[in-house]
Amino acid sequence: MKTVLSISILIIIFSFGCSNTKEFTISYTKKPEFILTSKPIIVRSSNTNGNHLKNLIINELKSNGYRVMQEIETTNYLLDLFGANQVIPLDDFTEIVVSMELGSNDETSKDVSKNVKLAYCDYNRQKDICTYSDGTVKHKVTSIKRTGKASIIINNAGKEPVKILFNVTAFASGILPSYTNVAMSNRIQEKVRGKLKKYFLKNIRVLPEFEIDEMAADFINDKLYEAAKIRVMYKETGFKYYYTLGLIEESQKNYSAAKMYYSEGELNTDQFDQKEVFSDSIARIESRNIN
Amino acid sequence: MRINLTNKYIIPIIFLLLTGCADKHFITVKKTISQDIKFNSVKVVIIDVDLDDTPFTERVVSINDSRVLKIGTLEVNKKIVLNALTEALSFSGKSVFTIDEYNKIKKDLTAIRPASGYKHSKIHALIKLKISYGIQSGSFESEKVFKFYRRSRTCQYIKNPPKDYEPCHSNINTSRQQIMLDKNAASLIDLWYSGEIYLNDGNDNYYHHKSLEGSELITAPYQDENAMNQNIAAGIGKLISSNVGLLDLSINLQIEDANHSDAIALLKQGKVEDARKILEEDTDSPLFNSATDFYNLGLIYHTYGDTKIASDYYSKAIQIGGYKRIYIDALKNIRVLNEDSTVD
Repeated sequence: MKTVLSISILIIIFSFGCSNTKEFTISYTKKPEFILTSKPIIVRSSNTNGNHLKNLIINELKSNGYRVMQEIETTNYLLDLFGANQVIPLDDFTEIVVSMELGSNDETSKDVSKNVKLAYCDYNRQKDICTYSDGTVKHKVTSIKRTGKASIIINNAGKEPVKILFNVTAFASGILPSYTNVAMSNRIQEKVRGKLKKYFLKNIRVLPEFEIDEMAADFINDKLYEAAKIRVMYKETGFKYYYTLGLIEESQKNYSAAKMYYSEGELNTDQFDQKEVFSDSIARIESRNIN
Repeated sequence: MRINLTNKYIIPIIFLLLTGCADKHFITVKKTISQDIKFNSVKVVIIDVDLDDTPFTERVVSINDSRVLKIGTLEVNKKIVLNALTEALSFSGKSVFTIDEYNKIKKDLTAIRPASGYKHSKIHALIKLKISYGIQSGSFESEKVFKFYRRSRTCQYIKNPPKDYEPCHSNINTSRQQIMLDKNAASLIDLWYSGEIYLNDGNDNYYHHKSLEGSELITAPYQDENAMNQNIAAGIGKLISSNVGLLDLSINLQIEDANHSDAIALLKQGKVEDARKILEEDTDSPLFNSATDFYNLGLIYHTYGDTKIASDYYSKAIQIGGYKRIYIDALKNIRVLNEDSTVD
């Protein structure tokens, strides 16, 4: 009897008691502005310095839904030693040739000084516990700069090659500075993402004006979808019921189930603003990236 | 219900902690998760590294001056780097060789074996890496603000002290900020690595499996070049294996006391399977309606690595017993340990 009572109290507290709401940001990806190619891609480096750039581009292309195949020429070096064959592409492919020219590391040093306030405090005093004086701290800072030129050429059969050229400058500085490899890697990644942006998936974040149940929102964010569903089943009715269940399915990339909830929600409401929310959600599902 | 005790990629090791905190008891689930399931299954790996020239600067930096003691190109010991990489990649029973090692073994075996009738061992994966780094090392100083404290107390204890008598008094209690020289020495290695992994498709054809690319700043003590090379090699090994290696996870799951005291007692003794039998015998009974029982069953399947069944039981526990912290935490942990969490 005691157990039954405590279970009932828990259900009341956790399922019906808390009614806080929370903003819920919806994140999704949309198709790129331009599709680079629908064929498999082979990325080649025409010089040694281009190898880092090549692998960086391969990773970016793969994470944006493109099919990347291995290159053959430069990997022969590795594979030939073992008398091994390669999976040779028989189908048509798009070729991306990259190269990278890196300059030397140039360094400059400068004196840096900063004004500081120095405190003397006597905690036994009743008032005016601290007195202050001015001071200057000095140190030497050395900066290292390295420039580079990158070239990305996209060759598609029957089309004019697309040439993307860019300069990149990497800096590192400190009392004891490091060289610029880490900065260069980050700068090149930024540049590649910027220059090839139109070929990459668009990440969209939408923050709807209205809020959903806080606990359900937290569960969705924590990917605890089953718990979120149970919460919605107990807690919500009408508009929020259909909308939150749609969000749960959409967050799991169950787009057809999400669309079903949004459509049911649209049918079950007469209010214009709520209908609009559902139709926007359906449009979002339909415009999402299929890859 | 079926218990899936084996899992090709995730190896659960179940420990029972009987110590507990007060009367709390936990089951600890330890799992090893593969970051790259395909690469994890290969056994013979050949690795080769292309090391760039390594710029090297050793300097002394004072407040007003930065003086270069030595500058040039450091001779990198490729063997040390390769040794660290082969060690870092030798997990899950892999044999990792450099090209030279592999060719030597092949040559030696050819010399001692008859001319025909033997096959060379199959290579399952080839890794080609390009590694660039530079080393900046030296001693350096800068001015910094330091804070000093000074405190002293005097105590006098007397017989029959009056009310409110305080025996101890603070004589000095001051703090002072002062500009002083901060002297240090270190080495900074800015590592940039990238590479490709090729896997054998089973017919001695190799296909591109994965590209790696990353960078990291490694701090090492200010020391001689060989010692620094060791540090760099160890750092590279860890970085590369973090892309394709194994991840050890350990999660404590709290046992919840309930009306099935016999099953709970068995669970606390580590007799997980016996506890499961008792609990599951009653699941069809109309009396079996306790959130705790569902939770503990979830916990049992969680330790078995059968996360789907565990997740169903935890959800039932939440449905009946509400959003209890331990139920939610257990469900969150399922997500962490779930096969889906492996990165491929």
